[in-house]
This record gives sequence, C-alpha cells and structure tokens, in this order.
Amino acid sequence: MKAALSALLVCAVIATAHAQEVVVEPPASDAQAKAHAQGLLSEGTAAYGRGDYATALDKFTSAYEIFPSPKLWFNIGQANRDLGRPVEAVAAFDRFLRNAGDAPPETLAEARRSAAELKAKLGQIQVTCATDGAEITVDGKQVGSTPLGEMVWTTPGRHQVAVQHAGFSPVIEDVVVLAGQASPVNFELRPIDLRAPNPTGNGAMVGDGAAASETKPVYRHTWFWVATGVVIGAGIAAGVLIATRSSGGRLETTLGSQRAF
Amino acid sequence: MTTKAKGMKARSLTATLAMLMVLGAGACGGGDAVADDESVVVIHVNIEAGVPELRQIHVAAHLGSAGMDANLYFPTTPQGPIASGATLALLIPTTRSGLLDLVLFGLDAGQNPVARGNGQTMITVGGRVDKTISLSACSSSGSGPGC
Repeated sequence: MKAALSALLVCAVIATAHAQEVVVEPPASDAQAKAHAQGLLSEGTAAYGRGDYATALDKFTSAYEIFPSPKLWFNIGQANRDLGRPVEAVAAFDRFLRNAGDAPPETLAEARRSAAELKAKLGQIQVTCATDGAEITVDGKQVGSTPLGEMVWTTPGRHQVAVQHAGFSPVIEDVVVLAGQASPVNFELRPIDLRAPNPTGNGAMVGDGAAASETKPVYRHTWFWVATGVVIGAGIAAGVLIATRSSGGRLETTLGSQRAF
Repeated sequence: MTTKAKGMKARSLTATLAMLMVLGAGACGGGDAVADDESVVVIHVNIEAGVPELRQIHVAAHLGSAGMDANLYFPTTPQGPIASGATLALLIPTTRSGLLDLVLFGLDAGQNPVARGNGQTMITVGGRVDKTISLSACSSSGSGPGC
C-alpha cells in the first residue's frame, strides 16, 4: 500500500511542472485517514499540475481536514497563490513555516521566497482596542479578537474593519491600505447602558423599596408629561421633515447601506 | 393603591409611552439616513435559479473617473439566507461622479464566492439611481461565470 502510494506521488510530482509536493508524514494513529489524505494530496497535486488550482485547493484542504499535517499548508499556500488569493497564501505559507520546521530545506526556502514576494505586494492593518475580547472582522471575515498579537495582511485598497463585543456598541471603520505599509486603526468601544434611567433624580427607584413610597409616581409629575409631549412632538416633526425632503432622506433596504469612496 | 402597585402602573405607563415613541419614530421614517452631500446607488439583487444559499454579498465597486475601488460586504457579517430581490445601497459623496462598475459576489456561509454578477451605472449626483444585478452560480466548467 505504502509503495503504491509512493509511486502515485512520484507520478504526481513528475506531472507537476512547478508545484513542489510535500508528503504528509506526521505521526498517524489512523492509518486509514492518512491513506485517504494521501489520496487527496495526490489528486490535488495532479489538479495543480493541470492548472486547476481551485480543485487542487479543495483537495489539499480536504486532506488537511482528514489528516492535519502542517506540511499541507505549503500546498494550500501554493494553490491560493496561483488562484490570486495572496492574503490566504501568505497565511498558509506562514503557518507552514511556523509548524513544519522538519520539511525539506528547499521546500522551506520556497515557502519563504513565496511569502516574501507576496508580502511585498500586500499591506497590513494594525488593529488596537482598549477592550479585550472583542471580535475583529476585516471585510466581513473574522481575523481574531483583541488584543490582536499580530497585524493583519491584506490587499492594498480600502477595507472595512469592524470590532464588536457583547455589551458594547459595534464600531466599523474604513481603512485605506498601501502596499508595503502598515495602517493603524484604533477602536474605542462604548458600553451599552441597559439600566433604566432614574427619572426622580433623588436616588429612589420608582416602585421599589421604601424610598419610593415617599415620592410621587413619575407619571404624576408635570415635567414628565411636558417632556413626553416634547419628545413625541419632536419625533413627529423630524419624521415629517425627513419625509418631505426631496432626496427622500431615508433608504429602505433589506441588506443596509454603506458609504463608498 | 399600594406602593408596589403604583410602581408597576408607572412602569407600564412608561413602557407604553416608550413604545408609542418608537412606533411614532418608525412611522415617520425608518431605514438608513442619507446625508445631503451623498448620492445613492440602490442595487436590487436578483438571484438566479441554481445559485446556492447566499449569506453575504460582496460588492466590488470601481469608479473609473476617480480611479478608486471599494470593497463592501452586505451585511457586514454573514447572516441568514439572502432572498432574491434583496436590496442594498452605496452612499457616495457628491464630490464623486461618473460611471460606476459593479461586480457582485454571492458568498456562502463559509464566505466563499458561489455566485457572481456585474453591471454599470452612472452616478446621479445628489440623487438616487436604482440598478438591478443578477447573480448566477459560479462554475469552473465554463457554463457560468467564474468567481
């Protein structure tokens, strides 16, 4: 079985003009899973050789899911690179270099070279936020949570960075990234105060405890009805103003609106 | 009436008023605000048959006159399935004008592009323009657009 697999892999390498194959060799407890992953790796390598990088990436990724050898990140990086997905390729090559130190020196060198070439065309976003544990997304993709130990590689251009945390108002910022440069963006999350306001202003919570019994109910204060009338009146006036604006003033969309350029 | 009963009545009255205010505000105009110095491009997304379930739309917009690109995601994080006929809007400063190239990618739950469509529209400076773009399933076999 192993000999047959090796022969198949050798054929795949020959068929591949410029893809370097890395054989899956981590300690295996499940020989069947390893064999399945080897099969997928061979199929992926063959697809890569045909220039069908999408299929190759699918096979390599499936192989990793079945048998998570860090060496597969090299193949995944190559496929992403040739699919024109430099950010994903850099992430894969970096992961390979971090975790597959026992790979052949020429493969490690190729990964370093590819990563360096790709990084020269990319920029980075440095996200900082005083609130720890907030989820960070770039262009809708989760990249981690605060504090983010490393900068986020991304393509040059405008990107949407969002930070959200339970109990805080989410914040979205547009960041312009230039090749070879790091763009810092700092977020300040403001907590959402869900406590009811204390309208009596004297420290008593209406309806609760003995202190409240010494005060009139809030709706028996004149100022309450005046304030309520003012708020409703202002709301109606604002609504009428907005509704009568020539531009319409408000957009009704199912997926929302966002600012561009 | 006991203190507790009075408190409950006050709370229910306050809640009712708050609800009325919210309803009033809603009746007076919900949705997203548009500033006076913005042009609006509303995109109606038509999802063709055979397109897998979409959770997010990636809009890649190119404004040739300014040489600018924008990549926007609607909604900002993947959510429930997007139905055909969904609408989204780009708010563009009135300092920008000209022909807007639009490429829309339909993303699945894993944020992989599974559908694509494109279109062009002229920006109506200070006004609104509506554009319908159909998304068809991506195909690597050549029968549909590649992603």
